[in-house]
Amino acid sequence: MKRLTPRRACVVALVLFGALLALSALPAGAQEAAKEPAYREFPYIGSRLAVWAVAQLHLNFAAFILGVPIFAVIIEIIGWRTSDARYDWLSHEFVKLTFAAFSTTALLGALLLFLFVGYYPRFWGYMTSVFFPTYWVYALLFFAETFTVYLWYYGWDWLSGSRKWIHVGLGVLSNLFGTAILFVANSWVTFMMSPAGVNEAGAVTGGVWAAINNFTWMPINIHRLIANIVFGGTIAGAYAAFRFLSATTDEERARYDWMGYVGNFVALSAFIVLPFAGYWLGREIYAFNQTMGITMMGGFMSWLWIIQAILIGILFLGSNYYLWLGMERIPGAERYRKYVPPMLIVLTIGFMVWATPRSMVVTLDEARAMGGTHHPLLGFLGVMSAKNTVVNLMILTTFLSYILYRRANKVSTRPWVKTGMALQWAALGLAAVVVVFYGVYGYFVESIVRIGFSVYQVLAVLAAIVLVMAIDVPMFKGASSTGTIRWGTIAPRSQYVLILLAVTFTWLMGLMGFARSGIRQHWHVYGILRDTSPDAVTPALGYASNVITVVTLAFFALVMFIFWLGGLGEKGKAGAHAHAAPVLAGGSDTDR
Amino acid sequence: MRLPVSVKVGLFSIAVMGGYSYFANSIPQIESRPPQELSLEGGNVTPAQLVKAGEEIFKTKGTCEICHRIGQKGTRAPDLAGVGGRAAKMKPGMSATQYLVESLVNPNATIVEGYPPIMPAVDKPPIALNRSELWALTAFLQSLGGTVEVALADIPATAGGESGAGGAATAVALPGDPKAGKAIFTGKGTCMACHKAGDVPGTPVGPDLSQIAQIQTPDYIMKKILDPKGMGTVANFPPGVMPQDFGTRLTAKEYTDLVAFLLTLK
Amino acid sequence: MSFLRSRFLQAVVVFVGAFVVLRFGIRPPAPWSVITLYMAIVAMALLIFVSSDRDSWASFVRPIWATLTEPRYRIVRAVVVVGLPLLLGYYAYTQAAARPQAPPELRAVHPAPPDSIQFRGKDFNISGAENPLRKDPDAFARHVAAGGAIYVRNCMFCHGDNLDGQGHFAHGFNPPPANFQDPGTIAMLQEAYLFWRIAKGGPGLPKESTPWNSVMPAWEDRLTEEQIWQVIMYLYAATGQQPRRWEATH
Repeated sequence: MKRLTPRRACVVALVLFGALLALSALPAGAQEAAKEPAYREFPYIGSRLAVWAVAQLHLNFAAFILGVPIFAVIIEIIGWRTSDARYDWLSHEFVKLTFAAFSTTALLGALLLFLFVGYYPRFWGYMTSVFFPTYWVYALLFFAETFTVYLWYYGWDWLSGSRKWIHVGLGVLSNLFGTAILFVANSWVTFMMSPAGVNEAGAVTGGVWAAINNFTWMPINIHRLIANIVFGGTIAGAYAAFRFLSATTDEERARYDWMGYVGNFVALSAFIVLPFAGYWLGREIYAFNQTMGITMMGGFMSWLWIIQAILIGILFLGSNYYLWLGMERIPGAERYRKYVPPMLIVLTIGFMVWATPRSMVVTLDEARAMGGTHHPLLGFLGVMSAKNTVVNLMILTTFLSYILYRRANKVSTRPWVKTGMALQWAALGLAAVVVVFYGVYGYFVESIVRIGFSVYQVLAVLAAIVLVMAIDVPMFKGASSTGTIRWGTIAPRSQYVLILLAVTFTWLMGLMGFARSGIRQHWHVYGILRDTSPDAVTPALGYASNVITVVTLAFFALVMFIFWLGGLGEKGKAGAHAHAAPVLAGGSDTDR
Repeated sequence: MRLPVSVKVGLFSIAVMGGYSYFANSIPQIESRPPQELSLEGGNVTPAQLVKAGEEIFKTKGTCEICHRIGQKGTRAPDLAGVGGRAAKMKPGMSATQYLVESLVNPNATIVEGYPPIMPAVDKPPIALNRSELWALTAFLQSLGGTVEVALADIPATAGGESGAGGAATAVALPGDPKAGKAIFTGKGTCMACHKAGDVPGTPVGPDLSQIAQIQTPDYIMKKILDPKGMGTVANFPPGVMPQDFGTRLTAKEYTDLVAFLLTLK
Repeated sequence: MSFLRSRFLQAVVVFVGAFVVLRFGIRPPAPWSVITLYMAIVAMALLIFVSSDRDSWASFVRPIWATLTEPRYRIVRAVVVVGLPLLLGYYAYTQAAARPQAPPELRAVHPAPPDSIQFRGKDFNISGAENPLRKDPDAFARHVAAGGAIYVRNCMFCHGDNLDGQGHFAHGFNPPPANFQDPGTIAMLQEAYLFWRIAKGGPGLPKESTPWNSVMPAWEDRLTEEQIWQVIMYLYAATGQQPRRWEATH
């Protein structure tokens, strides 16, 4: 790993230098824009597809290197405060992954820039006229981010012991820089969706800050920040799964089993709040422009949300399945085995309702048999009332899975344990009843009242989660154990679930990227800069999903290659490595 | 014998994403195409043509129908039925034309009570109607309960974007059999459910076709059968009623026969 | 009976059972596209169920493994090896074969009615509206008879003399005319909803969820307000359905 460093540093520096050169050449280029063509044609595949593919790849990598350090530093802090070497090792392992992906991200970013400058000169000239000052901020932030992460990673041993707080501070600082980079880049993207600070002709009127602080900027910042954590968690989990599957020793298996578990835990925790951020973003899109909102939800993109629902259903099923499989490695978990079938039934039925389309695909004969164009029974399941209800039930079930996993090998020693358990079940049951009640009641009231019900449902679920946890933590403090977790003995198929989650989430990101970009339809900058290229048509879902699949495959191939490179550096000196992993098999059972 | 882990994981990932792609491709595919420009300047346009063009803009490029209905009160925007008659009385000192044009290019100048000020200026992007299109749209609005009196000069010279228009109908010789076509008209095509045609009785739901060959070109008739919506609707008849699927239900022979029959209706 | 306790058999039984329930238990039949989606989810859940712990997975895999390897199952194996590819081939054929039918389209459910409509130039509130002709029970038979006459003159050609959507012209339309005998149509709607549909027809359907392709004419220019209410009364009386009532507002 360390041997490769100077070369890698050179690559990053070169790429940045090249990007800066391109940037500084731009104002001069803008003056000649009149003589330049508005578009050039990328050979064979067309400019749009080229930009789409590179942008999605760049975004995947960027999301990874921004998301992973966020929880890496949290894990480092946990390790620092509890003096548990495992966490320090894990944090270092996570940062190592981001580190390997750093130069690729910069490279793809530069490639994207060249594509814009070369194939969309008019568009890029316009963006430069609005955002030129932010380019310098971006470049400076990138330098700051790069050097802080370098210092963070290479200073791991140097800044240990009593100087650990400096090291943790570096981690926090690199995250602040990373988030700032994300915010700057988001300002360009969101400006294209919901331009502000310019008049109809596109001339800047409100200054660069008005253009940055547009309608969708903050919602996308938050949405992407959370999604990056989920994404980082799933990719780290998939990496651990890959290492687990190719491990040769029990010790290695135990280590990567644990790493995969933590990755999945991180992803799942952040995933549960993601829908709320998405809801806020949707509302801001409606507030910016009603037409855009309706195009997104009810217009030609309506089926995109069915596919999204299926992917989310798979993520729910997969996460639960992983927890259940994980209970096999915990002695004493057999006590909770009987809860699996009912939970699975709730999840399955919930998934079925959740994925029921409101606008169905029917043939003529089927429409005849149905006596019209709507289905009298399934129609009930396609509306928001039903979907909100089942998704809340699915969140509750997933939480229950986690609670059972938590107590799998514990026996509480508190005298009030009976009351506590009864209270917990009552809280969960009550939340379920509230959710179902408002779901059913929603059919009998008009839509304005119904929209308010979803808030009660969410509040009931959140209250139940908080209450159950508040009882659970003291109840199992100092509990007696039925045995230690046998890390590494989990069934290999569970590791494929981790990979499934990573693949699905990456694909979902591509799909949501298409939704975000596609609602602009035939505009580069919505309402201001018209797309007059031959690619102005917004493609259908099938075409988009093919592109997303191919790009996601390319992403995983690249990631595998980079991780393999990262692994090369480790070979032959595992024993001498300063961060040799602590032995986990039969280790502590006090985590989580 | 044993596959390397990377191959297994790779195949697994391909299978998962292939499944997603397969599903996304298995549903009907809808694309979103950029709208077309319309130019009426310099040409001689009758009020009727203008209204027809305006109605088209109302439904497509203008995206008015997303919020406004004609004959129904929506929650987002006022009902536009009778707006041509009302317009003159909306604002003192403003003619119907002036009021309508102002509502289009400066919608927030007057907000009908009880509605939110959410309407965008339609001459500005993203809708970006040009002057011709605004002219036609105003004419259409005036035709709703008022008289069409707007002239191109009434539209402020704000939005530009000119484009040439033109096209001539071509004569077609059809190989179809009018007799068989009549059987299609009364039978499989179910045309008579809505149209009268010479001695074929029919309900007055759709226009009487008894003299259609005199009124319309073969080109129009052929296109109208295959794409009723795309060809517009005859004035005073409800749009969108004619089935869109004749192209999939009639065979090529039945179709040419039917057109041949319609061309005999003079 | 260890045979019945086999996970494999259980999974097959649940899968087939789920299919039977979804295919024949839902009336009217659900569209294939939805059934396929549901069955895919059921298959996924079953896989999770049988593999959620070691013993269960072993018990699930055992019969499959035995069929594939043990000599005594040679005939079963031959049937599976030949049958499965044939089945897949048949599926591929059904997907790819050209059919004399228009490809399936996206369909939307009943749209939400507008709050109010313009009926012949005057405002007409849809939400909360009741049929005014029902106020006078003595005139009920007279109104139903008048509605019947209107139905026969205007509606029967498409909606059929049995009110089942099987009129003379019904086969020509996609989507087909509504079947009033179906408890899922008028029985689930308020009379005012029907008034809106009859008065405004296909053209009055909202812009969202297009294309509707409905060929229902707008009757407001041809029928008076009273005539529309009469024909609505006839529809309910002749089918024996009860109109849905408005929920009490808060």
